[in-house]
Amino acid sequence: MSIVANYLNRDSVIHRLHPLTKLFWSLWVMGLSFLFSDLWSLAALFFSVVAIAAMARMLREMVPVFKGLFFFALFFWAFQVLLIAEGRPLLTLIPGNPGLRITDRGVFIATAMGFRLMVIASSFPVLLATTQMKDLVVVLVEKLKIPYSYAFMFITSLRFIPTFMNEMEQIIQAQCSRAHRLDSRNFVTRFFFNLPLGHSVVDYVGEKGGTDGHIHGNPRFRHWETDVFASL
Amino acid sequence: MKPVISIEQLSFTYAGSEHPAISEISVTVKPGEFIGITGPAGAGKSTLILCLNGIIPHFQHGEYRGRVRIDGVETLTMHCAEISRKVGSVFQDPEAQIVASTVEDEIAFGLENFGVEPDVIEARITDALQRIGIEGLRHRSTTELSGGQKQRVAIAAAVALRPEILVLDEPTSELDPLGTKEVFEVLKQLNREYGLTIIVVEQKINILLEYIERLWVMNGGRLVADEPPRRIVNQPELLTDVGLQIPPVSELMYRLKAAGYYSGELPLTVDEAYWALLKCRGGKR
Amino acid sequence: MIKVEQLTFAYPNGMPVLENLSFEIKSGEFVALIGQNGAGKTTLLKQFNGLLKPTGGTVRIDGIDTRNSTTGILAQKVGFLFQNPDHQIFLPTVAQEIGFGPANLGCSREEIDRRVREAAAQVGLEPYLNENPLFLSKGQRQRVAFASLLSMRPQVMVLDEPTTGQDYREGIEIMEMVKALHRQGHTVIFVTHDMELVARYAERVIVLSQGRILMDDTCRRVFYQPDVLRRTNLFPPQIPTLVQKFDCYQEDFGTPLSVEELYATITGCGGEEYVHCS
Repeated sequence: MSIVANYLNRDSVIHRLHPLTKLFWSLWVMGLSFLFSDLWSLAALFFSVVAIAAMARMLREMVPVFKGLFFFALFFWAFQVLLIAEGRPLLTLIPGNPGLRITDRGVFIATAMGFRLMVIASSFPVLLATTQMKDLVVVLVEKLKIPYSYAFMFITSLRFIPTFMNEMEQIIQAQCSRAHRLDSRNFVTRFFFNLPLGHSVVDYVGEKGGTDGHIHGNPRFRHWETDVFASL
Repeated sequence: MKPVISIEQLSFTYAGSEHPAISEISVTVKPGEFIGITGPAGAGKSTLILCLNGIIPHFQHGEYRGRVRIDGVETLTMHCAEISRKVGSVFQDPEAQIVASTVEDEIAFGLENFGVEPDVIEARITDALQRIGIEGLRHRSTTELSGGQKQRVAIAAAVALRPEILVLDEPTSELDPLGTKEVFEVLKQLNREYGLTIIVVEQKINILLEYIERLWVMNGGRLVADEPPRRIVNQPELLTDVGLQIPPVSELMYRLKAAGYYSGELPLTVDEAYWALLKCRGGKR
Repeated sequence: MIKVEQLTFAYPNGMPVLENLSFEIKSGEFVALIGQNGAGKTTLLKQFNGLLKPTGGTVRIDGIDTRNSTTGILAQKVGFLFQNPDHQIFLPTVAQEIGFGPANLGCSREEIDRRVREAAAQVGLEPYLNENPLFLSKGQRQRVAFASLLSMRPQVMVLDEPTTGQDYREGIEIMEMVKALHRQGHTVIFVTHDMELVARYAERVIVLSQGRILMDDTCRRVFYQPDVLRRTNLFPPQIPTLVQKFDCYQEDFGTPLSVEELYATITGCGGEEYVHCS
């Protein structure tokens, strides 16, 4: 998902649009997705987002985003489809039990919800990939009158995402080197084995956060962290 | 000449700590000096730097005694923005101090904070990049720069504010030999051509002695030596007493001199050592 | 011990970082890996314990192909010391920190205790076993990280810039510890930018440049071919640089690496003959 915060430098109509236009576009698309509830409108809306990405000449870079979203939507779909019992039954999972069955209406609604999810999650990456962050911040501050300090915090935090990701990677590798099972394929084990490492990242934030962090240290803060994880 | 920095009986103890990080430091700096600070870990080098750029006492809590005057004005009575107009800072980790995503924005950042006019900002950016010799990096993304380039961008960002003094805390510790040399070459040029007063904390003693005019050796929070490099190599115990070493070529000639094979000045660099070694035989006779 | 054959490595969607490397490191060697930032040094080190797997060719550790193994298993053969000890340390006491590796390996309580004490002794940390590592100095934290690798009893020690960010004395202390391990038969591979350190400790030097091996020879021979080094913006230590300023240094001075060697040569030959041809 590294693409989410990255600006892709292209020369396209979409890139040249005013940042405010694109901001409103993405909010509008999201709003519409909540207004629509039938399958065809939502599908059309999703493909309009794909079309905009294509116009911005970055379809290739967006493929991983769409792919990820698709699998997420599929998971969501499989879950939804079983919960809707109305409509004509197409398939009953456990014969004799009317609760777990797939109906035509269920398929329709679940598919529509899947599209809605994809629309909501894909319009923002398109905005961020076609608009330079500083342009967006300037617009937020000057046109929408958002206080500068908030806009500054926002832009700075985005700048440090790759740094923290890299730091997290280093920590994971350092623990792997001590036979910690982080390279396990199982998602659940990975999650639980990752937990204690969270605090190293928090420490890191503490250190990077101030220019003076490394001198006086922050033992009290760190201690608290240790206690929290000990209690887990 | 009137000192640009004067420190009187300066002591500082961090809040929560029992021992002072620096104690009773008194020293003055003349405009245009190029000073190096070295010493073992925990000697108080970084703390001294923080006292110069106003982070102590303005942001860092603790027990502060004595005075630091910049251009005759005490930092305690100055506003932080005023201090940063006079003293530019560069820190150890290039990753942590760069906030913007492009080189141009990074240099503009400080200027914007000072409310400099947009067209002046433009001129200042061009000028700063030129002084550091990194015009080519102007439109590059800060994430794709090498460590040496990042540090030079950080120096350019500091220089763009036109400070009188530049303080650097171990600016080369993450850099390779080439990156280290690049940084010191830039500092030398800023010092020679623009008369910038420079104070740099550095562990790499070989390169430090080659560039600076005056070395402060710190240990246990105190300033234990304040000498030009030439005098330092003549008294290696000033460094060895605090667990440091003079450069190998200086040590060689020092030992040859002690054994009576050589009698001239002790060298600071490999080039000087070459000439010293040529004269070596004459020294014995 | 380590056998690398036609190793090529590229990050996903990236240019190759390592290209077609082949070499062998025998048991008991002391190897320095040098090169500019971005030459691929750390990427190569991470191949040795399987943190990164080759995209072409093979890396074998003690006969095991890293592609058929995991970092967890390789950790018992290769200990990897990261540049920043704080990436490794997260437990509240030094003893727990050192015992973390053996615990992951499934050792019994007694075995863990034994290994913790043994590793702590090797790095001189016995008095600090019950301290919180975060209250120790950076040099001591580096030792905690080091001991936490030793407790897994690896034969090979891989160190990524072990002295960066430390003062001269702390750096020398770490290297002396590594040297002692080497004397006990461990294989050591380290990355550093400090050429004086390389001259002082390494027996063999591998020079990397843009993902390729530029030179792979004894320390002495590498530092007495400065033209090759300069191509990748590295400079020999001061003593070899000084000696090579003299035209016929070979006859006059030999090829010294340290102050002691050069001093002995000069005073030994009376300090007369060596200047005649310069």
